[in-house]
Amino acid sequence: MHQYLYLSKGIKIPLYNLFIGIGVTFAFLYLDKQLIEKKIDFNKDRYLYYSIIISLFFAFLGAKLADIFNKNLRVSLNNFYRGGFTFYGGLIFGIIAFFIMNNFFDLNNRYYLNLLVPSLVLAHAWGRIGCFFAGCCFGKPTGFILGVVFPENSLASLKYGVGTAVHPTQLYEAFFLFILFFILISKVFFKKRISVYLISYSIFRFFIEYLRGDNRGYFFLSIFSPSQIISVFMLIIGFILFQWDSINCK
Amino acid sequence: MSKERGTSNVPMIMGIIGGVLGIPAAFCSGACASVITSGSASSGEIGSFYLAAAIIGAVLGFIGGLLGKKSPKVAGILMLLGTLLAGITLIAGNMLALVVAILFLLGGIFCFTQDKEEVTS
Repeated sequence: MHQYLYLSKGIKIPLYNLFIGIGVTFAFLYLDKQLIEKKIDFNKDRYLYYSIIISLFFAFLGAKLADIFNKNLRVSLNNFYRGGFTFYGGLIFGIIAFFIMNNFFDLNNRYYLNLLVPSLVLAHAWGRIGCFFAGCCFGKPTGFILGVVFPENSLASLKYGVGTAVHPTQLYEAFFLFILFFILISKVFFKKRISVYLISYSIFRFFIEYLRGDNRGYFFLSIFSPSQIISVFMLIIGFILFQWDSINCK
Repeated sequence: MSKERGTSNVPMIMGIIGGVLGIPAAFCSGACASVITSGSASSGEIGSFYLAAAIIGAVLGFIGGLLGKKSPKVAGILMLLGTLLAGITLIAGNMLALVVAILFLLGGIFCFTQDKEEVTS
């Protein structure tokens, strides 16, 4: 865990933010490459970017609000500033905003979402490496060979004690997402990208939640975390879309 | 109708990295400004001003970066405004804002100087 990259005595760069930046950069570079390959009209290309910018704002808002909701905190500006991010909250708010903006700009929702999915996966994968450097989203204690010992001031050490090896769940997820990205761009039919993403990520997320050691939040069912409940809904939506696409692709 | 489109990815890279680093820089600026002016009655207000200026700067620079190829002139103006706002917060002694300001400045300059191509729609 290295929270900061020290450029000089007075300048330290937070690695969590830097990795998110790297991920978002690669995501947009890949999106640009696809837009050129698919020969998208310049105006639609530009409207798509407007739509993404507005969606990103709502995704940020959603990720923050979901974190506050998950941790059962009061909605206040202070908690909003200090809280973390919840991926699913950002995803749901972002997709809703993306659909609304696409309808406003007269863009095809399904087509552009299929175009966007690999970029989303890529940004998420890099973001998880950022999580590893920040020391958040850590796993439960383990004697497994891949177990990682975080430094004494880290969240994992504060919870489980200094020197305790925990599952590097951030890296498991990053590895899975990189593999998923390559599968999506090389093996999956374009129209099925969303459904394959929803199915595979929700299944992975459901099970990785059992290895997570950080605060998983509260919901009315205490046996499952909020992320697992959302995963189940995502899985159902993914299967419905997959079937729908299979029928329409014939 | 013909329009101009940029060809360089540099503004986008500068804008995104500057934007994501701009958010923690904004919180540092707000905190630094509050500490520096802690003796005065308006300490909290000054801190809030620096925080708001830095956040707006980061958002403008980020949006400018994303539009670097689509609308180079608008993107250039947004990134230079981002540079200005990040630059203002340097007074509070936050050196991360210096990195952000340099990234936005480079991105803004690239927006104006990059090769452009005409597109018809």
